[in-house]
Amino acid sequence: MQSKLYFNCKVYFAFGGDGSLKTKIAELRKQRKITQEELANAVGVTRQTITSIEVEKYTASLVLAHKIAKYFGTTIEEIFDFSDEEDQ
Amino acid sequence: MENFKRKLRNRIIITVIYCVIVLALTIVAAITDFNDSATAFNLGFGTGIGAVAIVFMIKYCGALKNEEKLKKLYIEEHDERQKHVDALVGRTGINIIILFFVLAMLVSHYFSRTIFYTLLAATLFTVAVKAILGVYYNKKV
Repeated sequence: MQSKLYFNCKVYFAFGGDGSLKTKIAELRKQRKITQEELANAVGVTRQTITSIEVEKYTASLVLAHKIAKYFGTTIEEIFDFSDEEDQ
Repeated sequence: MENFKRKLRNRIIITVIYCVIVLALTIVAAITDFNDSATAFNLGFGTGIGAVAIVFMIKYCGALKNEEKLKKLYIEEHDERQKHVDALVGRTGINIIILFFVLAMLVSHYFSRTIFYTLLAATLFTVAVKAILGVYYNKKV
């Protein structure tokens, strides 16, 4: 069930930053003085993954988005900007 | 994490078994005084793979003794972006391989029929593997 959800809600990898979601992760991290490494360890991914999400090269899976939102004590919609997706 | 530890232990056991087999084959080959290039190549190739496997085995042993290293290794192996990159590499890689096989096949036809049929077989096999995996994963996912 979880793997189906993962693949259905999943994520695509776009070179050059096209087509990925805008996020407020970097902003939230800076506000709370958290490093990429600390966030990565807390949500169980590599630092490179956090970097790619922040620079909009990679869109997090639903599970990862949930973990990040939970870590910051907020909702997925607060962190990820879906407005471009809704326009399509 | 216990499942991951078990997985690492299994990998270590497989590496040890593999190294013992390669060592035994090398000893047998040395006793029988082999001198054909195929056996020499196979043993060299097997030894090379064994050497790489030992490096990984040392890494796994270190991770099993240290919780921090274990967590780092777990994250490295289960990172979703890395999985996605691997999937893209596999998908793109197989298409490039098929393309080059076809090009090489077309050129080789002018020089050698044996090479042509070998490349044809390799191309058909690669395409078949891709098609079978496509059907399998379409049903699985």
